[in-house]
Amino acid sequence: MTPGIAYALRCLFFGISAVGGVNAIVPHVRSVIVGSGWLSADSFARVVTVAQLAPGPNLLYIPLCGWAIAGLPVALFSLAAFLLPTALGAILAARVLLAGDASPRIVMLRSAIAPVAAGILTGAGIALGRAVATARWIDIAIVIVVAALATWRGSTLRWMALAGLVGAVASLGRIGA
Amino acid sequence: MNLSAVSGRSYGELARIFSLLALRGFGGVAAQARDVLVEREGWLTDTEFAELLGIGQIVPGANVTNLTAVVGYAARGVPGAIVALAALTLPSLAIAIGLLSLAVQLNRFPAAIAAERAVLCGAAGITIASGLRTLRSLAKVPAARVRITVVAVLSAALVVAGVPLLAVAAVGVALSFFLAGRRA
Repeated sequence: MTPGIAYALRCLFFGISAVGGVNAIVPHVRSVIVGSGWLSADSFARVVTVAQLAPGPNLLYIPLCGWAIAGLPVALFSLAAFLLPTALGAILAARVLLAGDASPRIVMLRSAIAPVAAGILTGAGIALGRAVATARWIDIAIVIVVAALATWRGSTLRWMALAGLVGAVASLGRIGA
Repeated sequence: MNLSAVSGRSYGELARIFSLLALRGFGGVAAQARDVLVEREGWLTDTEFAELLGIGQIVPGANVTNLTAVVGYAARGVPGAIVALAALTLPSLAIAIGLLSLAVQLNRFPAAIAAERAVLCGAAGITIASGLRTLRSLAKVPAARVRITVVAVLSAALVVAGVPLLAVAAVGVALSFFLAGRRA
């Protein structure tokens, strides 16, 4: 079996085992890919960094590894293998939980899930802020100011563009000084 | 399925909406998913969004990817789910492949790196705001306000403390279900 096909098949299991989010399995995926000699540790690290920088869902590193291992067909097969089984699971779960004639207990469970999701979203934002805003006051200020503005005015893209501009200008200012 | 504003949406609309929110999604797509689906387009209410995101969290896989599959399915069945998932992932994948080819050169532009990091800080702020706005909307029901706030704050704190997301979801939903049951 070629590395590309072997990787795409492994993605079936990566997807199903990504309980609690796709970032949780990065160490496992790394050990499989690097351990099998499909990519070097450096190449894998570069792929994960680029996947984080690019706009899009967090699972982008899965097809991007496929691309780095064996090109576009493997990128597409690994993506499909990773997300189609979990998508099917989500659809089946939603069909039960969101049914129009759901029992009172299901309706209660549904409304129990919603505030947890809101909390996890807030917490994930704070965790991301702590990871990227390392000790520089300007980074921390951007996180707090954007959070406040977007809570007040709506989470539109212009706050992020503004943040990027402030960051670039601040860095140029430092280089000039 | 009970998502009235979604059912019957065309493949073209699915493709447009999900590629739009993916390409805006620096530092994670959940915040942009809420902004596009709830605030700009009105496909989902805040409650529906939070329920779908929560379901997506509990089922294996990425939460927004799962939400995308369910919304696509509610609009056009299985083909709708596939169109929505393709729109969410493929344009971003093309950009990522292009970036990977440029990755070595990128290190030479400090201003670009600083801008990128600042954008990620902005993304963190926007994600925090999405959670808070969802929470504010859920907590509009006076009788449930305290319960919803307690559950959300606890869940957020556990995530910040580094507890695995599945454990947070399990503890949060169990507590939330218990508190709701006591009131009923």
